[in-house]
Amino acid sequence: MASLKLEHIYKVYPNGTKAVNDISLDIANGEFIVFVGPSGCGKSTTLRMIAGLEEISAGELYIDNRIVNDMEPKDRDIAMVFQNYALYPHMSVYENMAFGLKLRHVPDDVIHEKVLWASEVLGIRDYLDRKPRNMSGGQRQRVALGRAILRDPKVMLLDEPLSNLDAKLRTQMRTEIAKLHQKLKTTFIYVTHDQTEAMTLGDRVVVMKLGRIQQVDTPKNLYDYPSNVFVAGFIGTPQMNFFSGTLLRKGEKVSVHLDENGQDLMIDYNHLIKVDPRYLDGKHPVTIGIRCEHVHLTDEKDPSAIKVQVSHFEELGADCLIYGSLANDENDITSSKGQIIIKVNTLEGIKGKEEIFVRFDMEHTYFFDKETEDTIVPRIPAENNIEASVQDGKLSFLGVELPLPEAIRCEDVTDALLSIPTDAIRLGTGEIVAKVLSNEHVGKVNLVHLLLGGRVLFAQSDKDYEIDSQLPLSLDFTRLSLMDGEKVLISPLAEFDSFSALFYNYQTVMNKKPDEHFKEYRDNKIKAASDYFEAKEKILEEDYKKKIQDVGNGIGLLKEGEAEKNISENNAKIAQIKSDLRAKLKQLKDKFLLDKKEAKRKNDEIFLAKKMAEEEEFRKFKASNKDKETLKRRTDEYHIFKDNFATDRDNALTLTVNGITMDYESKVSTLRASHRREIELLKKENKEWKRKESFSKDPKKDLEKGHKKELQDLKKAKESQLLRAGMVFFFRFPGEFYELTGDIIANKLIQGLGTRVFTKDFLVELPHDAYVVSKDGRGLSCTVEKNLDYRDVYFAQCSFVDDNGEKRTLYVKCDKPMEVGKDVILTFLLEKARITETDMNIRLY
Amino acid sequence: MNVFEKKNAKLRYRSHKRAVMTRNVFVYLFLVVISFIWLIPFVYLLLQSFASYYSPTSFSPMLPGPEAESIGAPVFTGENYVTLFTSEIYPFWRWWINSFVIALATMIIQTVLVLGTSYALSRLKFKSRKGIMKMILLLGMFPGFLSMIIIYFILKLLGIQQSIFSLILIYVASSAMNYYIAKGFFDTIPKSLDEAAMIDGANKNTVFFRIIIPLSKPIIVYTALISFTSPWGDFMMASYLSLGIRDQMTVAVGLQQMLSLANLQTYFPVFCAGGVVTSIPIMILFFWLQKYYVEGVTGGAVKG
Repeated sequence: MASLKLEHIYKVYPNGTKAVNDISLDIANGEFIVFVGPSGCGKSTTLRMIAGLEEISAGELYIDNRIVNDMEPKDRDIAMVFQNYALYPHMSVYENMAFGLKLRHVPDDVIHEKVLWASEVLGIRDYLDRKPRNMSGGQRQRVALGRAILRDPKVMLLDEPLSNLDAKLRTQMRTEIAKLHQKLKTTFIYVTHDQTEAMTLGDRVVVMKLGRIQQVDTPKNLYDYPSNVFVAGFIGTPQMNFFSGTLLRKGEKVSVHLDENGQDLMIDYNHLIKVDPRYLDGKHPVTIGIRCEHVHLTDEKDPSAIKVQVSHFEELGADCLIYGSLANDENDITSSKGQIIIKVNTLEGIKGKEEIFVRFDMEHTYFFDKETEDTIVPRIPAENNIEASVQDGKLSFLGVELPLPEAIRCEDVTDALLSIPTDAIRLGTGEIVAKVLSNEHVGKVNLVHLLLGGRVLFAQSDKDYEIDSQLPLSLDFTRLSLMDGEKVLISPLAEFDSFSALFYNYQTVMNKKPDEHFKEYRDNKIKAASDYFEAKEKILEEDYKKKIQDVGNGIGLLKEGEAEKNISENNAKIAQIKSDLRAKLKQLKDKFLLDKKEAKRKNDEIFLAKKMAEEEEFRKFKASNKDKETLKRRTDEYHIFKDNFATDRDNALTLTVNGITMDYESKVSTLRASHRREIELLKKENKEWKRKESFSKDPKKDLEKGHKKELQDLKKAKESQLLRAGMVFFFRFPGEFYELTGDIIANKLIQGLGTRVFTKDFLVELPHDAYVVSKDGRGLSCTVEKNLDYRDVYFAQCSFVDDNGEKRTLYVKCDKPMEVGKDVILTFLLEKARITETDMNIRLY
Repeated sequence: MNVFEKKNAKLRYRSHKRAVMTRNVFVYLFLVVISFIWLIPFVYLLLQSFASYYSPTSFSPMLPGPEAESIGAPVFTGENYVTLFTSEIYPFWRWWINSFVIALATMIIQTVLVLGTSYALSRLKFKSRKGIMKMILLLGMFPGFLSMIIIYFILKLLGIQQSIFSLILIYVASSAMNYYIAKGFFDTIPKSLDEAAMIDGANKNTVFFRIIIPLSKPIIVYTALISFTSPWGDFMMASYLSLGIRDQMTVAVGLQQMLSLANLQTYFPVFCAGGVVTSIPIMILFFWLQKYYVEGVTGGAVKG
């Protein structure tokens, strides 16, 4: 059991295609996660990267808070079930399941116990000695599952495990996998292209398209709140109906204009309260989606009735689908414009009609931006858009009047649009007071609905607030924006300052600009590593001394002849088993031969009787029947019978014999396998005895050998660690300023550089609180131009000259204004930065 | 009318049957002729190996008796085989051992090399893998004897041109060229087996020896057979490396010595006996290993 964390994972192929593009995902312990998407969307690649079968181009994968990027698949403690089962054909089911544990040197009795347990869980106990080729698809998949669960892995990975099974078996196995997950409570990651599997199995479902995550949510939320057109169309069968149109707010109602037939439908504004008002102007094109189950039949008199041209019907048994089109003039059957699918319980009274009338269930309609295809009714809206005015440096909106801070003071204006990001409202303190309407939980975020001046405001928070209570709040002025039509009056302060930086290694930097400080840093790092290993060496030596002492005292040694006795006993047992097996095999073979003979005899008998009967009948027929025509026909029949007689007899015999042979072979292989297992167990025991015996003969020599090997291993590890410690990397910023990168950042960048397609150019984005005024004169020198006063915080606007000789600005967050015109030298806290590779646009940190 | 139709149907049935039979007769006849042509040299060799002396006019020796004596035709005798193994001039036994050792050593080394190369080319994705594969194929298109002289010089540089066993080096040196068929076979073993094993905790070696090799019996047998037969029957390289020294010859080279013009009369039947003895190991090998040929092993590995 484990939690998983994917951070900005990319898979880039040498030709530059990004199969997986910036995937970040947290998977909780014991969760059942399903990756779903059309083929080629990168879901299998992601799974294979988690398994370690595919290299990760950039980003980190954590299993239980440990980075496993460079770990071999076998060390990640995962198990995987493949689409084509991937059972080892030359091994029996038992051996197949035991193989992994055997390679990990688990004691045989433990393996045996575990195999029995797993086979019991999956109901394949009776097939343990069979070879995979003698099993059906469902059984094989169970073996594959068994092989995976028996190792007790931290994570179970399933790569389309059911797609090779037929429909009935698939449903059955689906239930079994769900049960298995409940029983094991391991983290499951399941890849499928089948949305039914995704919706039924997953705790959470990850919908992917073209290497990107479209939405991660519970199946219910995916269905209810699709985040874009793709998810809306992908989840649910038949596909959601899409139309294009526009929205126009009319007081408490919003009119939905359908482009397809020019009709207007009405919806309560309450449903669209989270929508950016810019979409409600009657001009912005939107995509309107409605599922077929939310379209209802009605008649002409209904004011909201929509006319549908019917093209054809599909009867599915339980319900029926009507295919049609909204557009009146549409005669082309291949056109998808205005197409609509309607689900009804029965076709009674509709069949044969060319036109029907339907009504949309407006509470279940979805709206998407036509261009970006994203939903315009997000669960967490990005910002609140309110009408506001400014007068004498005072901002007033919704009955609130706030003095604007110095930095964003602007001219007087009325009817401007104020945008307050939902996470820029600080709840709990401040001079504005609003009423709490409700708390809506979306994932980990709590979206607080507030009532202020007769309008609903949204604010993000991490805790709940009492409903109907009066809540004080304040605004983060740095994040506000105010627009008067197209004119920007107040713009938010950018979150980051960006720098272009180059990545350098230690040698290059020391050649260009030798610096004692860097040398000292590197030496200290190497020394720390070396100290660590010296301490380890000491422990090893002490351990060795203690062991020698123990052996000297006779601890852990065998008595004279003890091993020999046991070995000879085991050998006798083996011989007994072997002779047993031989006898049993001979018995089986004799019986098989006898059976075969018997079958042949019986077959011959039956066919002889048949032949006699036919001959007899024909003779009688010939004697009694005088009609020439019938007689001829009968003669033909008789000849055909005679012609085919030999082949028929042989075929019948082959069929019976085949059955007998298969039975015999499976019995033989079962017998052999079970005996072989016993013998192997005994042989292993013998080996163990022999090892103990040789150890007892000269324990000191053995211990010395082991100790030497351990020392050598340690030495090797030390060497590689020292080498690693010696690798120090830098970012070069404008003005020949080199900044040390921490180990974590350096490792990520090296990993990225290894992908070859990367360049050394990076975009480093620093938040305003990541600057420190340098004390030792090392850093980026810049000049303070002015101070931005946001009342409680100050931002110093500084300028510096970049490598191209251009003047650039950056903002330093500080709690008191800095002296204007003064030169300051800044160093950076790179840990807070965002680092992106510019060429491929890959986010590295 | 009705009667007529039925009669026709019956006739049609009969005539169809007759047509099938006639066709079969012709096919079988043709096959018999072909196999006759194919088998005759061997039958001739076998019969002549028992003849008391070489007579260009007789296909088969006669049973010993007064009749044969009267016309002076060769008769059946086992003497040629005795001569073959006891002759002082032609140490056949020695040649046989030479050939066998060379062929066996080549077989073992070559099989290992070919399987290793093929597995690497099939499974490991490394730079210029395609380039190497193409280059090997291209090199393989040149006949081997083009490099004969150069090979001799190389052996001389190494100082082993005197020994017939340097043939092993020559044969083995080009063994990786035969990777193609084995690679094709490895390609058919699903990769997911490797991956499953890797997740189960296997490294590359374990995968190769515990998963791939047990599944590859047919291709191992095939490779072994091919790499045994080609040195066993090779004449060209062996003939110039043996330098005319009798003890250094292989079977193919040695037997050819018997056919010099002066010896033809006396030694032709012995030569034939030698030919028969030479073909025995190949036959044994083939009959012993052929059952693995047909074994379908990947059944049940994946879906089916």
